[in-house]
Amino acid sequence: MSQDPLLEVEHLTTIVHADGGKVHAVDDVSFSIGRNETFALVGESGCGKSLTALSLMRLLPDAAEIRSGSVRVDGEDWLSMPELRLRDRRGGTVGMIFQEPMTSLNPVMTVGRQIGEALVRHTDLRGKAMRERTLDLLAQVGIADRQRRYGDYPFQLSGGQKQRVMIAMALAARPQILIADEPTTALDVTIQAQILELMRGLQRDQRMSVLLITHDLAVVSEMAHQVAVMYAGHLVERAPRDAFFAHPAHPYSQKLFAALPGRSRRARRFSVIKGAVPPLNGRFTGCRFAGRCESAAPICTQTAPPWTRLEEGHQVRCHFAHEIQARWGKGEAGVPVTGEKATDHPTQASARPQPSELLTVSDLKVHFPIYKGFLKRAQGYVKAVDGVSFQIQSGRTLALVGESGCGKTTVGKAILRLIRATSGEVRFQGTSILRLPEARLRPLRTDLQIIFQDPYASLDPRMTVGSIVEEGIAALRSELGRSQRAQAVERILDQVGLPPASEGRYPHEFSGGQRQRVAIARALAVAPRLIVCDEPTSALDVSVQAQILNLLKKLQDDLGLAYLFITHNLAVVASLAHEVAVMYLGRIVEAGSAEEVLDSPRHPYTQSLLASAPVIERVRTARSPSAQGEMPSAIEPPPGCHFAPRCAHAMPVCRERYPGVTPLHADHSVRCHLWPAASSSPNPA
Amino acid sequence: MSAYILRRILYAIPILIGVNLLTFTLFFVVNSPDDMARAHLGTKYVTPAMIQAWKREHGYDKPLLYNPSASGVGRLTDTIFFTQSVDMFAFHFGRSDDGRDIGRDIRARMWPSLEIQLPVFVIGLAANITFALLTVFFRATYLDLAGTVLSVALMSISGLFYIIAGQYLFAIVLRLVPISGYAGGVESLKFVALPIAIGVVAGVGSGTRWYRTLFLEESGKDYVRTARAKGLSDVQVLFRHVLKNGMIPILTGAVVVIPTLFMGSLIMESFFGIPGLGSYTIDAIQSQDFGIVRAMVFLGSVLYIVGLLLTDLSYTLFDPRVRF
Amino acid sequence: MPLSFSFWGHAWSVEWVVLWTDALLYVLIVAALLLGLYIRRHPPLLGPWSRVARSPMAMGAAVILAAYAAIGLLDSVHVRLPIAPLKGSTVHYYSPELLSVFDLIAGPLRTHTEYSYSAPFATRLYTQETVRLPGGQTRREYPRLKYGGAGLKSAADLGRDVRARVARALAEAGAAWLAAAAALTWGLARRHRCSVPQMARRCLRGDTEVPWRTIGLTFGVVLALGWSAIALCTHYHILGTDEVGRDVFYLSLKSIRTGLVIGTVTTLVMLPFALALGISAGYFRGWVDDVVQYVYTTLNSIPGVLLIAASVLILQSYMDRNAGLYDTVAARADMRLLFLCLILGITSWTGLCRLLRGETLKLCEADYIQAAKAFGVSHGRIITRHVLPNVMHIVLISVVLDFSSLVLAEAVLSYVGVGVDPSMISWGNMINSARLEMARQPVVWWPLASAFVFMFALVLSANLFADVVRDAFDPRTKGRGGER
Repeated sequence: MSQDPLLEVEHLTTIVHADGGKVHAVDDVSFSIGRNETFALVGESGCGKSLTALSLMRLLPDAAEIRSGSVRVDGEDWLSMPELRLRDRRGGTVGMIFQEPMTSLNPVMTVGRQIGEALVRHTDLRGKAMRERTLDLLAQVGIADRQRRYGDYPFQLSGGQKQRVMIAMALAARPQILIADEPTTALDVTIQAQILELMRGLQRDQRMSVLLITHDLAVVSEMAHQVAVMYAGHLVERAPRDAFFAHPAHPYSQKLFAALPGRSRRARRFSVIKGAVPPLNGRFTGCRFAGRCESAAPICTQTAPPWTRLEEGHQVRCHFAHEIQARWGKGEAGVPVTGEKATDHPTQASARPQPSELLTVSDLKVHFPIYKGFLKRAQGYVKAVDGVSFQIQSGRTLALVGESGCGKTTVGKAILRLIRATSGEVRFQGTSILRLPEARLRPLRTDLQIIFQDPYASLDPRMTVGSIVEEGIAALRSELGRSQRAQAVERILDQVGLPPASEGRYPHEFSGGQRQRVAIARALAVAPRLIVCDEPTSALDVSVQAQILNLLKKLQDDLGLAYLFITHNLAVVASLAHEVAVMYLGRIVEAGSAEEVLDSPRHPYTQSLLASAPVIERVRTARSPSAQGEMPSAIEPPPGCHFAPRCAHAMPVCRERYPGVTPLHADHSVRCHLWPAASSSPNPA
Repeated sequence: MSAYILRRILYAIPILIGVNLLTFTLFFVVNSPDDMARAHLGTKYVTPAMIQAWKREHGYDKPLLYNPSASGVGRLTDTIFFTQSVDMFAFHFGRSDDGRDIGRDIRARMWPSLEIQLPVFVIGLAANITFALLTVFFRATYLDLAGTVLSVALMSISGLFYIIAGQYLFAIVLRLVPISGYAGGVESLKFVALPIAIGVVAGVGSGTRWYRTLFLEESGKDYVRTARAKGLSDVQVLFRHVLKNGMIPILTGAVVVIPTLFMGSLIMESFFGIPGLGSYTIDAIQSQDFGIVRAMVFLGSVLYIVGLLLTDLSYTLFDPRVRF
Repeated sequence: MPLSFSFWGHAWSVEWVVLWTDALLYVLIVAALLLGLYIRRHPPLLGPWSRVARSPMAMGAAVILAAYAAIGLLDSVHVRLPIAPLKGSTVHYYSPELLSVFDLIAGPLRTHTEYSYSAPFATRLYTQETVRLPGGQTRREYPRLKYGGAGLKSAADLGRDVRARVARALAEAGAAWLAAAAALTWGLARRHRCSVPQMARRCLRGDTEVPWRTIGLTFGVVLALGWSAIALCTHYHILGTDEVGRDVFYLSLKSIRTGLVIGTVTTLVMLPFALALGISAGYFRGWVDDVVQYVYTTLNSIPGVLLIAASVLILQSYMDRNAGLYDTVAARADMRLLFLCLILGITSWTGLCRLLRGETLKLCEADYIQAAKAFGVSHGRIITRHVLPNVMHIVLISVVLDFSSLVLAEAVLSYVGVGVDPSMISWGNMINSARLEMARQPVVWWPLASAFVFMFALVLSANLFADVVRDAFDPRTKGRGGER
């Protein structure tokens, strides 16, 4: 790392003109990035990290405007530079990639032309030389079959490939700095691992600096040399990576760590950050975090804390930086449950009444026909769910884990009959429900409920919270009168931790976490026995996610609910589930108790999922390889084991037939040829 | 691909049958041939015999749907429905009230209509896209505001005003072009120039505004930001990225009207005395010649359905994402 | 059939007649009022409307629209005046002529008819007439008008007289405006709890949520124009007279109602179809969707003008054959207006229906509808509670956008001869009857110009208003920019 920084940002202030007045989205932000280093800007959604990046490039949306500050890149002042000259630098000196590879490429332009455009703009390469260079770039970012991909349109690529193309485009002119705005947030965990690996390699080989913007501390831990934490438009902590992960010094940073789910936190409540981010349209007199800080003193609300230097390069904006940092590691992380009676640890589960079989799914199949040809006859099927079986016992949590497109959400919806199952059987307490007439199904609907992923889309924007929660009661418990219903709503809102005054308010007045509480309240209102939780926290920030997971746990303890917890996030699984089933391309490949599956995974896919998930380590260590390639299409799954093409251990037999179920223990089974069933007959599936 | 086209064509058949039944109901059931005859012969001093004669003369003296007096297939074919309505599928439009062959008239009159409508379509499309791109390029400036207000003002003016004012100014006051009329060959240029210009101006307000929203929506998309992050200039972004994506809805939306250009413009043609299908229709309406109106309704529907078919096909041309 | 009953206020009685379109307009107003009350009590619905209320352009346009609506509504309350009963008879007879409240107010305008064309503010006829001189000879001359400038001693006084009247009218209008502004400022000051001068300053600076400055300015302009016109129109034909000597200003004002009826009743007629078919196609899919799509593709494939023309022609021949069904000319014309609205509705519901179908398809994938299905909520309830409220913005946008195109369409249809009844006063009929005079030298321009200007002001205001409404309600234009 050389002494003079490559990028210097000083006192950058960007405001956004919104309906309610000016929002100081980026407020007096200063940092610098040295040559050949990766600088991570971490923060939760809405903290202003993306706007910071766009301000550097002067690519702000119309409603936003840079008020003051300076941005110097390689000694040149970018903010006062005329637009015409800045265009040479954009994409030339600094390349940028975005969060959504799906929408960030021009849909009607071939990959080759989009990369070529950057080359034409910044290099002298033309014609054949340009094509050669484009193909080189595609090879560099690990695109297989690049000759064909050159002429492809973005819609012909998968998400991971699109992000690779974005990177190739950003690298076209050999920039000195690469700005990556949440580059892997929209991607699956195995793909994320691939892209992060690629970026690490490119940064090293091309001797670039990287400004990495992310909300994920684990990604930071794997990628960064320097870290800055942003909160409410403000930087609150700056430190070298190792110092930051060893001793985070700002209360907010510490809380972020504490809120992370993970195996170590099983059976404990997550530490949560109370309250919400303050609105940014006013001015602050004190510390912005004071209102949510457990260590806040009167001074915190009166004067804004200056930067406190702790050690070489480690600076914090906190009045009590030294004290707070010294406290780290001493019981801050993970507060034990107060008055913990019985944890949900499987070994202690015998303390509760014997769990009974609640839901049994056997050989469930959901095939979506594809209509093609002259008469639009079904020419094939998307086998979204292709023979899935599992059981859930009352009061327990089964986590259904898999990457996007594996069919896990379809399973959840098919159980609730929101999607028609093709075949198989679903029994709830012995009653087969898939072919029940709607009228006879209705009483069962009070037992089975669902919580959706996106709390912004799952609440009707035109209904009050009270009537949203009441809807189920009115539909399913018609014996209740108006006043009884109102009482029930009040009680349930209290149960999920919402103030009683929320009843008359509308969803848009609530934050994401609060909305998810409303969604939980809606499901709870009919007193269900089983709730299908479809990625209930994946749209939420880490600190809020912790609140919701705590709530779900508490409800399970209090009410004896069973959950079918559908997720892609193994860290969440570890903290919540009793049983785990791993799904790949419509089938369950491994199932068992959470301990068994997460601690001694047997299926190569489970192993690669676990290996791909970025983890926070004090010191960086070498990682085992994750799965190669991407999930194939469910229309024409590969012959034999669906995972074989990506599997490092694939044998000839793997490409011939699908492996049968091998029971390893009483509570662990796997479908893989590496674990041949000794006694069971081959299952041709 | 060919299977797709074939299916689209087959899908058009029930729609044409629907149109045919609807026109039949409207023209022969709601308004029976007797009513038609009375409308033409006047209500006073009309004997049943005169009505019969009128009906026979025009081929309307048969039962509507079923002819019990005929034999065999004739029971179905020797009816008004079959001779008047079903026959239109073969483009046999019958004769007008003054005895002319409607089919021949249509064939002769569609070319002058096209001579006006095609240039209006092409020039109008180009002008609207140009103005829309300009307002998007200068968005959030006073030029954009002025352009938008102007286009709203232009689309708030009645189309009749453009025609009347245009004719008055250019033909009567300035005497640049003849007031009305038509001639064949190159001569026709001086007759159609003004209608074409008026057609373009009359459509420019709403067209610009509509395309501007399309382009604005496109220019707010993520890939535009990517293009700017590459260092492309605003003009390059506009032409290579926004225009290309915005053109897909514009072109596919425009294709549907291409076949109907033959139908001409009712008012323009009657105002400028162009012997096209538009003035043909308007004359028919004003003289209550149901035969011609019926033929034009059916022809218009056929052309519209052809337009729909072309639209579907044009997607495969303009949008790489659509393949069959 | 029109409801009719009598009441006796004074020594004479009038018969209140409710025409079909009157009734539909009343229904529309009641519906709009109820909707307004409902929206007031539901904040999420109120949000976009308050954005409309903050837009100077929308509020300026709204003032003009309100002026048009006021005239249109006054013109929609119809009465029949009694004829003096025969001696000894106790039976009341009413004139077959149907008059609106507006006609009664604008009495002199309606009755001051000249012999033929006269230019605006003219004192003499536009055409030469043969006048018989006292000596028995005849002479061609431009005769004096019966009413236009009748009070003037000589034509030379015209300018002075007009100036004096306008000056007086402006002074009166200014006083009225000041009074209204003062009352408004006082009311606002009370609501905002500040002093009246403070409030006045804020209004003048444009520092208010609702753009009162723009509203005041537009209102002032409307007031000044209106007041001057009222002051002049009883003494002059301020916009001239038409072929049969009717006052063009009166005709232009009478046309407002026709335009409003076409623009609003058509929408009212087609809304139920579009809503029911569009939503059920999107919600139930399957064969329902196929049928609805088939119906609207078929209807859509027939050129709109031709379908309207064919229907109107057939309607016309039906009415000709059954002339006895209508007791007054106005009732007959009204019937035709209503049918025109119906037919326009039939040809114009397809666009909205398609939009609604698409939006419903999208909505049904929404998690909150899935959640409702997981509760086993009935289809009807899901549609009314979830789908309908969430597609209303599309309905609203298309209703306001359609209004102006329908007003313009009336003119074109009346020109083609398939519009409103020739006896009904409308901008289209004004243009239609005046266009032949374009060939005359010197040209008779005022009926055309008046019709176009009145139509333009209405359509422009409606378009500007619609623009703002669309921006406020369309979720795609909301929240552009800013970090997600």
